[in-house]
Amino acid sequence: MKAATYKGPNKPYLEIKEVSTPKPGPGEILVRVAATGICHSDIHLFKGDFGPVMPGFIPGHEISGWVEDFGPDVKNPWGLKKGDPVIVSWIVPDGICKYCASGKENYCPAAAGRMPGLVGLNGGHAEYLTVPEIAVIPLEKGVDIYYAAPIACAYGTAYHALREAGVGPGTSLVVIGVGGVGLSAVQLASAMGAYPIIAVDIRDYALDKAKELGATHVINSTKEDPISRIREILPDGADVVHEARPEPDLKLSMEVVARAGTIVVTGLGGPKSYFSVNVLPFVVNGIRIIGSLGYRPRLDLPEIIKLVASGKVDVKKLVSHTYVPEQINEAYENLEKGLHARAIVKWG
Amino acid sequence: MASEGFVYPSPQWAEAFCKAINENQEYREAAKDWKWDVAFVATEIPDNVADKLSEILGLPKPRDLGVKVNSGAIKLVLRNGTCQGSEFYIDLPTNLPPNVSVPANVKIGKVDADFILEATYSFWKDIITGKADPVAALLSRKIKVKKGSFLTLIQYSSAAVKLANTTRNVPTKFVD
Repeated sequence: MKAATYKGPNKPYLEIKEVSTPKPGPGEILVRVAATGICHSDIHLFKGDFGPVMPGFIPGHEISGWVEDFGPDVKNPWGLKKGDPVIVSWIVPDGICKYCASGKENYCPAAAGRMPGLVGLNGGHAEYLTVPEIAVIPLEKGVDIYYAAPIACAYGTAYHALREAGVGPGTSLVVIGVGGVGLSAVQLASAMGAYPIIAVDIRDYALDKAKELGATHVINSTKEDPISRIREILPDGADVVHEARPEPDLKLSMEVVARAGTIVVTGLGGPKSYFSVNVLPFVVNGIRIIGSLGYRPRLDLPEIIKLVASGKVDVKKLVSHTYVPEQINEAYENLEKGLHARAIVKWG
Repeated sequence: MASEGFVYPSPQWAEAFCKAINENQEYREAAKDWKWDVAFVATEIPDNVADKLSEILGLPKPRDLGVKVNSGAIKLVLRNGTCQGSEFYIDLPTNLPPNVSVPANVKIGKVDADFILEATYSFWKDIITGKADPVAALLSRKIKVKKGSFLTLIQYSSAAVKLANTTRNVPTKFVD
Protein backbone atom coordinates (compact mmCIF):
# COMPACT_ATOMS: atom_id res chain seq x y z
CA MET A 1 0.00 0.00 0.00
CA LYS A 2 0.98 3.61 -0.41
CA ALA A 3 1.99 5.41 2.79
CA ALA A 4 3.66 8.64 3.91
CA THR A 5 6.47 7.58 6.23
CA TYR A 6 8.57 9.65 8.60
CA LYS A 7 12.08 10.56 7.43
CA GLY A 8 13.40 12.81 10.16
CA PRO A 9 13.13 16.15 11.93
CA ASN A 10 14.32 18.16 8.93
CA LYS A 11 12.12 19.03 5.97
CA PRO A 12 10.77 17.28 4.06
CA TYR A 13 9.55 15.32 7.04
CA LEU A 14 7.88 12.54 5.07
CA GLU A 15 8.34 10.37 2.00
CA ILE A 16 5.74 8.45 0.02
CA LYS A 17 6.65 4.76 -0.07
CA GLU A 18 5.14 1.38 -0.80
CA VAL A 19 4.86 -0.58 2.43
CA SER A 20 3.08 -3.80 3.27
CA THR A 21 -0.61 -3.53 4.08
CA PRO A 22 -1.21 -4.30 7.77
CA LYS A 23 -3.35 -7.22 8.86
CA PRO A 24 -5.79 -6.73 11.72
CA GLY A 25 -4.75 -8.53 14.88
CA PRO A 26 -7.01 -9.67 17.71
CA GLY A 27 -9.53 -6.96 18.60
CA GLU A 28 -8.46 -4.80 15.66
CA ILE A 29 -10.19 -3.41 12.61
CA LEU A 30 -8.56 -2.77 9.25
CA VAL A 31 -9.69 0.60 7.89
CA ARG A 32 -9.36 1.71 4.28
CA VAL A 33 -8.46 5.37 4.60
CA ALA A 34 -10.59 7.99 2.87
CA ALA A 35 -8.88 11.11 4.19
CA THR A 36 -6.49 12.32 6.84
CA GLY A 37 -6.17 15.77 8.34
CA ILE A 38 -3.04 17.91 8.42
CA CYS A 39 -2.71 18.89 12.08
CA HIS A 40 -0.27 21.13 13.89
CA SER A 41 0.42 18.40 16.46
CA ASP A 42 2.18 16.53 13.65
CA ILE A 43 4.77 19.31 13.48
CA HIS A 44 5.48 18.80 17.19
CA LEU A 45 5.75 15.08 16.46
CA PHE A 46 8.14 15.56 13.53
CA LYS A 47 10.39 17.83 15.57
CA GLY A 48 10.62 15.26 18.36
CA ASP A 49 8.67 17.32 20.91
CA PHE A 50 6.75 14.20 22.00
CA GLY A 51 9.88 12.04 22.08
CA PRO A 52 11.94 10.27 19.45
CA VAL A 53 10.15 9.07 16.31
CA MET A 54 11.53 6.13 14.37
CA PRO A 55 12.08 6.56 10.62
CA GLY A 56 9.38 4.67 8.77
CA PHE A 57 6.66 5.59 11.28
CA ILE A 58 3.38 6.48 9.58
CA PRO A 59 1.87 9.66 11.07
CA GLY A 60 -1.64 11.01 10.49
CA HIS A 61 -4.09 10.95 13.39
CA GLU A 62 -7.18 12.63 11.95
CA ILE A 63 -8.66 9.78 9.99
CA SER A 64 -11.82 8.84 8.15
CA GLY A 65 -12.37 5.73 6.07
CA TRP A 66 -14.31 2.53 5.56
CA VAL A 67 -14.26 -0.73 7.49
CA GLU A 68 -12.23 -3.11 5.34
CA ASP A 69 -11.85 -6.15 7.60
CA PHE A 70 -12.10 -7.40 11.16
CA GLY A 71 -9.44 -9.18 13.17
CA PRO A 72 -10.25 -12.12 15.44
CA ASP A 73 -12.07 -11.57 18.75
CA VAL A 74 -13.62 -8.28 17.70
CA LYS A 75 -16.62 -7.51 19.92
CA ASN A 76 -18.03 -4.93 17.49
CA PRO A 77 -20.28 -2.96 19.88
CA TRP A 78 -21.44 -0.61 17.10
CA GLY A 79 -22.49 -3.51 14.82
CA LEU A 80 -20.18 -2.37 12.05
CA LYS A 81 -20.14 -4.13 8.69
CA LYS A 82 -17.47 -4.17 6.00
CA GLY A 83 -17.71 -1.00 3.93
CA ASP A 84 -19.28 1.09 6.69
CA PRO A 85 -17.98 4.68 6.90
CA VAL A 86 -16.11 5.44 10.11
CA ILE A 87 -13.72 7.82 11.74
CA VAL A 88 -10.72 6.69 13.78
CA SER A 89 -9.94 8.20 17.16
CA TRP A 90 -6.33 8.95 18.01
CA ILE A 91 -7.27 8.39 21.62
CA VAL A 92 -7.45 4.63 22.12
CA PRO A 93 -8.61 3.93 25.67
CA ASP A 94 -8.69 0.48 27.22
CA GLY A 95 -12.34 0.95 28.10
CA ILE A 96 -12.06 -0.71 31.51
CA CYS A 97 -9.88 1.44 33.76
CA LYS A 98 -11.24 3.87 36.37
CA TYR A 99 -10.75 6.80 34.00
CA CYS A 100 -12.78 5.10 31.30
CA ALA A 101 -15.38 4.02 33.85
CA SER A 102 -15.79 7.61 35.02
CA GLY A 103 -16.20 8.99 31.50
CA LYS A 104 -12.68 10.39 31.31
CA GLU A 105 -11.37 7.98 28.72
CA ASN A 106 -9.22 10.69 27.15
CA TYR A 107 -7.05 10.41 30.27
CA CYS A 108 -6.89 6.59 30.20
CA PRO A 109 -3.26 5.65 30.97
CA ALA A 110 -3.32 2.97 28.28
CA ALA A 111 -4.29 5.61 25.70
CA ALA A 112 -1.15 7.61 26.48
CA GLY A 113 0.99 4.82 25.09
CA ARG A 114 -0.93 4.10 21.89
CA MET A 115 -2.06 6.98 19.74
CA PRO A 116 -2.41 6.13 16.04
CA GLY A 117 -0.16 8.42 14.07
CA LEU A 118 1.37 9.95 17.20
CA VAL A 119 2.64 7.36 19.67
CA GLY A 120 3.17 3.64 19.28
CA LEU A 121 0.70 2.87 16.47
CA ASN A 122 1.03 3.74 12.81
CA GLY A 123 -1.42 6.38 11.70
CA GLY A 124 -3.60 7.12 8.73
CA HIS A 125 -1.32 8.79 6.19
CA ALA A 126 -1.64 5.62 4.17
CA GLU A 127 -4.18 3.66 2.20
CA TYR A 128 -4.92 1.37 5.17
CA LEU A 129 -4.35 1.17 8.89
CA THR A 130 -5.24 -1.22 11.67
CA VAL A 131 -6.45 0.04 15.02
CA PRO A 132 -8.00 -1.42 18.17
CA GLU A 133 -11.74 -1.51 17.58
CA ILE A 134 -12.46 0.87 20.46
CA ALA A 135 -10.98 3.65 18.30
CA VAL A 136 -13.41 3.10 15.43
CA ILE A 137 -16.56 5.22 15.54
CA PRO A 138 -19.31 4.91 12.91
CA LEU A 139 -20.36 7.87 10.82
CA GLU A 140 -24.00 8.77 10.32
CA LYS A 141 -25.59 8.68 6.88
CA GLY A 142 -25.28 11.95 5.03
CA VAL A 143 -21.90 12.91 6.52
CA ASP A 144 -19.29 13.35 3.79
CA ILE A 145 -16.62 10.80 4.61
CA TYR A 146 -13.70 12.86 3.29
CA TYR A 147 -14.60 16.04 5.13
CA ALA A 148 -15.38 14.01 8.26
CA ALA A 149 -11.68 13.42 9.00
CA PRO A 150 -11.29 16.62 11.09
CA ILE A 151 -14.03 15.37 13.43
CA ALA A 152 -11.44 12.91 14.72
CA CYS A 153 -9.12 15.65 15.97
CA ALA A 154 -9.88 19.34 15.41
CA TYR A 155 -13.62 19.14 16.07
CA GLY A 156 -13.23 16.53 18.79
CA THR A 157 -10.63 18.55 20.65
CA ALA A 158 -12.65 21.75 20.36
CA TYR A 159 -15.92 20.07 21.35
CA HIS A 160 -14.49 18.46 24.47
CA ALA A 161 -12.83 21.72 25.50
CA LEU A 162 -16.10 23.63 25.10
CA ARG A 163 -18.01 20.99 27.06
CA GLU A 164 -15.39 20.97 29.81
CA ALA A 165 -15.69 24.74 30.05
CA GLY A 166 -19.48 24.58 30.23
CA VAL A 167 -20.24 26.36 26.97
CA GLY A 168 -23.94 26.40 26.18
CA PRO A 169 -26.68 28.79 25.07
CA GLY A 170 -25.71 32.37 25.88
CA THR A 171 -22.16 31.65 26.99
CA SER A 172 -19.87 34.50 26.00
CA LEU A 173 -16.77 33.04 24.42
CA VAL A 174 -13.38 34.29 23.29
CA VAL A 175 -11.34 31.94 21.09
CA ILE A 176 -7.66 32.87 20.92
CA GLY A 177 -6.01 31.40 17.86
CA VAL A 178 -8.29 30.28 15.07
CA GLY A 179 -6.35 27.49 13.44
CA GLY A 180 -8.05 24.13 12.96
CA VAL A 181 -9.09 23.65 16.59
CA GLY A 182 -9.97 27.31 17.15
CA LEU A 183 -12.12 27.48 14.03
CA SER A 184 -13.82 24.23 14.99
CA ALA A 185 -14.53 25.74 18.40
CA VAL A 186 -16.10 28.82 16.81
CA GLN A 187 -18.30 26.69 14.57
CA LEU A 188 -19.34 24.25 17.32
CA ALA A 189 -19.94 27.02 19.86
CA SER A 190 -22.18 28.78 17.39
CA ALA A 191 -24.18 25.57 16.94
CA MET A 192 -24.32 25.19 20.74
CA GLY A 193 -25.80 28.67 21.16
CA ALA A 194 -22.83 30.59 22.56
CA TYR A 195 -23.07 34.36 22.18
CA PRO A 196 -21.15 36.48 21.52
CA ILE A 197 -18.26 34.54 20.01
CA ILE A 198 -15.09 36.61 19.63
CA ALA A 199 -12.22 35.23 17.56
CA VAL A 200 -8.68 36.60 18.00
CA ASP A 201 -5.83 35.85 15.65
CA ILE A 202 -3.08 37.61 13.70
CA ARG A 203 -4.18 36.36 10.28
CA ASP A 204 -6.98 38.16 8.45
CA TYR A 205 -7.92 35.17 6.32
CA ALA A 206 -8.28 32.98 9.41
CA LEU A 207 -10.49 35.63 10.96
CA ASP A 208 -12.57 35.83 7.77
CA LYS A 209 -13.04 32.08 8.07
CA ALA A 210 -13.98 32.45 11.73
CA LYS A 211 -16.67 34.93 10.76
CA GLU A 212 -17.96 32.54 8.12
CA LEU A 213 -18.14 29.80 10.75
CA GLY A 214 -20.07 31.85 13.30
CA ALA A 215 -17.81 34.34 15.09
CA THR A 216 -19.83 37.44 15.95
CA HIS A 217 -16.70 39.57 16.31
CA VAL A 218 -13.17 39.13 14.99
CA ILE A 219 -10.03 40.88 16.23
CA ASN A 220 -6.68 40.98 14.47
CA SER A 221 -4.37 41.52 17.44
CA THR A 222 -1.64 43.00 15.23
CA LYS A 223 -4.00 45.76 14.13
CA GLU A 224 -5.97 46.58 17.27
CA ASP A 225 -5.58 46.14 20.99
CA PRO A 226 -7.47 42.93 21.76
CA ILE A 227 -7.85 43.75 25.47
CA SER A 228 -9.63 47.05 24.84
CA ARG A 229 -11.73 45.65 22.01
CA ILE A 230 -12.90 42.64 24.01
CA ARG A 231 -13.69 44.86 26.99
CA GLU A 232 -15.77 47.07 24.69
CA ILE A 233 -17.79 44.04 23.60
CA LEU A 234 -17.83 42.32 26.99
CA PRO A 235 -17.32 44.89 29.77
CA ASP A 236 -17.47 42.17 32.43
CA GLY A 237 -15.24 39.79 30.51
CA ALA A 238 -15.91 36.49 28.78
CA ASP A 239 -17.53 33.52 30.51
CA VAL A 240 -15.12 31.24 28.69
CA VAL A 241 -11.80 31.84 26.97
CA HIS A 242 -10.48 29.06 24.78
CA GLU A 243 -6.70 29.22 24.31
CA ALA A 244 -6.33 27.34 21.04
CA ARG A 245 -2.93 28.66 20.02
CA PRO A 246 -0.15 26.10 19.61
CA GLU A 247 1.86 28.02 22.25
CA PRO A 248 -0.62 29.25 24.86
CA ASP A 249 0.62 31.82 27.38
CA LEU A 250 -2.68 32.78 29.12
CA LYS A 251 -1.74 36.49 29.10
CA LEU A 252 -4.69 37.71 27.05
CA SER A 253 -6.95 35.06 28.59
CA MET A 254 -6.33 36.30 32.13
CA GLU A 255 -7.00 39.88 31.01
CA VAL A 256 -10.38 39.18 29.46
CA VAL A 257 -11.90 36.28 31.39
CA ALA A 258 -14.91 37.18 33.52
CA ARG A 259 -15.13 36.75 37.27
CA ALA A 260 -15.83 33.06 37.95
CA GLY A 261 -14.99 32.47 34.31
CA THR A 262 -13.12 29.59 32.74
CA ILE A 263 -10.00 29.40 30.62
CA VAL A 264 -9.67 26.17 28.70
CA VAL A 265 -6.38 25.35 27.01
CA THR A 266 -5.93 22.92 24.12
CA GLY A 267 -2.69 24.14 22.52
CA LEU A 268 -0.04 21.59 23.46
CA GLY A 269 2.96 23.90 23.53
CA GLY A 270 6.44 22.46 23.31
CA PRO A 271 8.35 20.53 25.96
CA LYS A 272 9.72 23.75 27.43
CA SER A 273 6.49 25.75 27.21
CA TYR A 274 4.99 27.08 30.41
CA PHE A 275 2.73 29.87 31.55
CA SER A 276 2.54 31.88 34.72
CA VAL A 277 -0.53 33.35 36.34
CA ASN A 278 -0.89 36.34 38.62
CA VAL A 279 -2.25 34.71 41.76
CA LEU A 280 -4.35 37.55 43.20
CA PRO A 281 -6.85 37.98 40.32
CA PHE A 282 -6.80 34.21 39.75
CA VAL A 283 -8.00 33.54 43.28
CA VAL A 284 -10.07 36.64 43.95
CA ASN A 285 -11.94 36.31 40.66
CA GLY A 286 -12.38 32.55 41.01
CA ILE A 287 -10.90 31.74 37.62
CA ARG A 288 -10.89 28.12 36.49
CA ILE A 289 -8.07 27.03 34.21
CA ILE A 290 -8.57 23.70 32.49
CA GLY A 291 -6.16 21.72 30.38
CA SER A 292 -8.19 19.69 27.91
CA LEU A 293 -6.65 16.83 25.99
CA GLY A 294 -8.43 15.58 22.91
CA TYR A 295 -11.88 14.12 23.46
CA ARG A 296 -13.73 11.11 24.77
CA PRO A 297 -14.00 8.99 21.63
CA ARG A 298 -17.08 6.98 22.52
CA LEU A 299 -18.94 9.92 24.06
CA ASP A 300 -17.89 13.11 22.29
CA LEU A 301 -17.37 11.89 18.73
CA PRO A 302 -20.89 10.45 18.28
CA GLU A 303 -22.35 13.73 19.57
CA ILE A 304 -20.32 15.74 17.07
CA ILE A 305 -21.29 13.37 14.27
CA LYS A 306 -24.94 13.97 15.14
CA LEU A 307 -24.39 17.75 15.08
CA VAL A 308 -22.89 17.34 11.61
CA ALA A 309 -25.60 14.95 10.40
CA SER A 310 -28.29 17.34 11.61
CA GLY A 311 -26.83 20.11 9.47
CA LYS A 312 -25.99 22.34 12.45
CA VAL A 313 -22.27 22.03 11.69
CA ASP A 314 -21.10 22.02 8.08
CA VAL A 315 -17.69 20.37 8.15
CA LYS A 316 -17.05 21.28 4.51
CA LYS A 317 -16.81 24.93 5.53
CA LEU A 318 -13.80 24.25 7.74
CA VAL A 319 -11.64 22.52 5.15
CA SER A 320 -9.77 25.09 3.10
CA HIS A 321 -7.23 22.88 1.31
CA THR A 322 -7.34 19.38 -0.16
CA TYR A 323 -4.17 17.53 -1.17
CA VAL A 324 -3.25 14.27 -2.86
CA PRO A 325 -0.78 12.02 -1.01
CA GLU A 326 2.16 13.10 -3.16
CA GLN A 327 1.65 16.70 -1.94
CA ILE A 328 1.84 15.81 1.73
CA ASN A 329 5.12 17.65 2.44
CA GLU A 330 3.76 20.72 0.68
CA ALA A 331 0.70 20.41 2.92
CA TYR A 332 2.86 20.53 6.06
CA GLU A 333 4.88 23.43 4.67
CA ASN A 334 1.69 25.35 4.07
CA LEU A 335 0.53 24.44 7.57
CA GLU A 336 3.72 25.91 9.03
CA LYS A 337 3.18 29.03 6.93
CA GLY A 338 -0.25 29.31 8.54
CA LEU A 339 -2.11 29.04 5.25
CA HIS A 340 -4.71 26.46 6.22
CA ALA A 341 -7.99 26.70 8.02
CA ARG A 342 -7.92 22.89 7.90
CA ALA A 343 -6.42 20.70 5.20
CA ILE A 344 -7.06 17.09 4.30
CA VAL A 345 -5.25 14.52 2.21
CA LYS A 346 -7.48 12.24 0.17
CA TRP A 347 -6.25 8.65 0.11
CA GLY A 348 -9.22 6.67 -1.15
CA MET B 1 -9.63 78.94 44.09
CA ALA B 2 -6.84 77.06 45.87
CA SER B 3 -7.98 78.38 49.20
CA GLU B 4 -11.32 76.66 48.87
CA GLY B 5 -10.01 73.75 46.76
CA PHE B 6 -9.86 72.84 43.11
CA VAL B 7 -13.07 71.64 41.52
CA TYR B 8 -13.02 67.96 40.71
CA PRO B 9 -12.78 67.22 37.83
CA SER B 10 -11.00 70.12 36.18
CA PRO B 11 -7.66 70.94 34.54
CA GLN B 12 -6.63 72.79 37.68
CA TRP B 13 -7.35 69.75 39.85
CA ALA B 14 -5.33 67.61 37.42
CA GLU B 15 -2.35 69.97 37.67
CA ALA B 16 -2.57 70.02 41.45
CA PHE B 17 -2.76 66.22 41.53
CA CYS B 18 0.31 66.00 39.29
CA LYS B 19 2.18 68.36 41.65
CA ALA B 20 1.09 66.36 44.70
CA ILE B 21 2.31 63.14 43.08
CA ASN B 22 5.74 64.64 42.60
CA GLU B 23 5.84 65.52 46.28
CA ASN B 24 4.96 61.99 47.38
CA GLN B 25 8.14 60.00 48.07
CA GLU B 26 6.21 56.84 48.92
CA TYR B 27 4.55 56.88 45.52
CA ARG B 28 7.86 57.60 43.81
CA GLU B 29 9.35 54.47 45.34
CA ALA B 30 6.34 52.23 44.69
CA ALA B 31 6.03 53.34 41.06
CA LYS B 32 9.71 53.63 40.19
CA ASP B 33 9.29 51.20 37.26
CA TRP B 34 5.96 52.57 36.01
CA LYS B 35 6.31 54.06 32.52
CA TRP B 36 2.85 54.50 31.06
CA ASP B 37 0.30 57.28 30.64
CA VAL B 38 -2.89 56.79 32.61
CA ALA B 39 -6.29 58.36 31.97
CA PHE B 40 -8.88 58.49 34.71
CA VAL B 41 -12.30 58.83 33.10
CA ALA B 42 -15.29 60.02 35.10
CA THR B 43 -18.72 59.14 33.74
CA GLU B 44 -22.18 60.15 34.94
CA ILE B 45 -21.02 63.65 35.86
CA PRO B 46 -23.91 65.46 37.54
CA ASP B 47 -25.34 68.39 35.56
CA ASN B 48 -24.35 71.00 38.13
CA VAL B 49 -20.76 69.70 38.11
CA ALA B 50 -20.76 69.81 34.31
CA ASP B 51 -22.06 73.37 34.40
CA LYS B 52 -19.33 74.42 36.82
CA LEU B 53 -16.71 72.67 34.74
CA SER B 54 -17.94 74.43 31.60
CA GLU B 55 -17.71 77.73 33.43
CA ILE B 56 -14.12 76.95 34.46
CA LEU B 57 -13.24 75.99 30.88
CA GLY B 58 -14.97 79.02 29.39
CA LEU B 59 -17.40 76.84 27.50
CA PRO B 60 -21.14 77.26 26.99
CA LYS B 61 -23.15 75.23 29.46
CA PRO B 62 -23.86 71.78 28.01
CA ARG B 63 -27.57 72.26 28.62
CA ASP B 64 -27.42 75.47 26.51
CA LEU B 65 -25.85 73.34 23.74
CA GLY B 66 -28.66 70.82 24.22
CA VAL B 67 -26.31 68.03 25.26
CA LYS B 68 -25.04 66.16 28.32
CA VAL B 69 -21.34 65.67 29.02
CA ASN B 70 -20.43 62.05 28.25
CA SER B 71 -17.38 62.06 30.45
CA GLY B 72 -14.45 64.02 31.77
CA ALA B 73 -10.95 62.60 31.90
CA ILE B 74 -7.67 63.43 33.55
CA LYS B 75 -4.64 62.08 31.72
CA LEU B 76 -1.36 61.91 33.57
CA VAL B 77 2.06 61.27 32.09
CA LEU B 78 3.45 59.00 34.81
CA ARG B 79 7.07 57.96 34.57
CA ASN B 80 9.25 56.26 37.17
CA GLY B 81 7.28 57.52 40.12
CA THR B 82 6.86 61.06 38.84
CA CYS B 83 4.12 62.95 37.07
CA GLN B 84 5.48 64.67 34.00
CA GLY B 85 2.34 66.44 32.89
CA SER B 86 -1.43 66.42 32.81
CA GLU B 87 -4.19 66.95 30.29
CA PHE B 88 -7.89 67.35 30.76
CA TYR B 89 -10.47 65.93 28.36
CA ILE B 90 -14.14 66.67 28.15
CA ASP B 91 -16.23 64.46 25.93
CA LEU B 92 -19.20 66.32 24.51
CA PRO B 93 -21.54 64.69 22.01
CA THR B 94 -21.43 67.79 19.79
CA ASN B 95 -19.00 70.18 18.13
CA LEU B 96 -18.32 73.44 19.91
CA PRO B 97 -19.37 76.73 18.27
CA PRO B 98 -16.44 78.01 16.13
CA ASN B 99 -15.91 81.10 18.29
CA VAL B 100 -15.25 79.05 21.43
CA SER B 101 -11.65 78.16 22.28
CA VAL B 102 -10.26 76.07 25.14
CA PRO B 103 -6.99 76.21 27.09
CA ALA B 104 -3.98 74.34 25.68
CA ASN B 105 -4.12 71.56 28.28
CA VAL B 106 -7.80 70.92 27.61
CA LYS B 107 -8.98 68.64 24.82
CA ILE B 108 -12.45 68.08 23.51
CA GLY B 109 -13.28 64.44 22.81
CA LYS B 110 -12.45 60.97 24.06
CA VAL B 111 -9.15 60.42 25.84
CA ASP B 112 -6.59 57.88 24.74
CA ALA B 113 -3.72 56.61 26.89
CA ASP B 114 -1.78 53.43 27.62
CA PHE B 115 -4.18 52.76 30.48
CA ILE B 116 -7.74 54.02 30.64
CA LEU B 117 -9.52 53.59 33.97
CA GLU B 118 -13.20 54.44 34.04
CA ALA B 119 -15.60 54.90 36.92
CA THR B 120 -18.55 57.08 37.75
CA TYR B 121 -18.00 60.58 39.09
CA SER B 122 -19.44 59.53 42.44
CA PHE B 123 -17.07 56.56 42.69
CA TRP B 124 -14.00 58.68 41.94
CA LYS B 125 -15.28 60.96 44.66
CA ASP B 126 -15.29 57.99 47.03
CA ILE B 127 -11.70 57.21 46.05
CA ILE B 128 -10.58 60.81 46.55
CA THR B 129 -12.26 61.05 49.93
CA GLY B 130 -10.79 57.72 51.02
CA LYS B 131 -14.15 55.92 51.25
CA ALA B 132 -13.24 53.36 48.57
CA ASP B 133 -10.17 51.20 48.13
CA PRO B 134 -8.62 51.38 44.64
CA VAL B 135 -7.36 47.78 44.52
CA ALA B 136 -10.69 46.36 45.66
CA ALA B 137 -12.35 48.63 43.12
CA LEU B 138 -10.16 47.27 40.33
CA LEU B 139 -10.81 43.67 41.37
CA SER B 140 -14.54 44.25 41.67
CA ARG B 141 -14.53 46.22 38.40
CA LYS B 142 -16.11 49.30 39.95
CA ILE B 143 -13.14 50.89 38.26
CA LYS B 144 -13.19 49.46 34.75
CA VAL B 145 -9.91 48.96 32.95
CA LYS B 146 -11.04 50.08 29.50
CA LYS B 147 -7.55 49.89 28.05
CA GLY B 148 -4.27 48.41 29.25
CA SER B 149 -3.24 45.31 31.13
CA PHE B 150 -5.24 44.57 34.23
CA LEU B 151 -2.51 42.22 35.36
CA THR B 152 0.13 44.94 35.10
CA LEU B 153 -2.05 47.23 37.20
CA ILE B 154 -2.40 44.57 39.87
CA GLN B 155 1.38 44.19 39.97
CA TYR B 156 1.50 47.90 40.83
CA SER B 157 -1.29 47.73 43.41
CA SER B 158 0.92 49.29 46.06
CA ALA B 159 1.58 52.25 43.77
CA ALA B 160 -2.14 52.48 43.01
CA VAL B 161 -2.96 52.76 46.70
CA LYS B 162 -0.32 55.46 47.17
CA LEU B 163 -1.59 57.28 44.10
CA ALA B 164 -5.10 57.22 45.50
CA ASN B 165 -3.81 58.42 48.88
CA THR B 166 -2.07 61.31 47.10
CA THR B 167 -5.46 62.71 46.07
CA ARG B 168 -6.03 63.59 49.71
CA ASN B 169 -3.14 66.01 49.48
CA VAL B 170 -4.98 67.89 46.72
CA PRO B 171 -7.29 70.63 47.99
CA THR B 172 -10.49 69.40 46.40
CA LYS B 173 -13.91 70.94 46.05
CA PHE B 174 -16.90 68.88 45.04
CA VAL B 175 -19.73 70.98 43.67
CA ASP B 176 -22.42 68.31 43.29
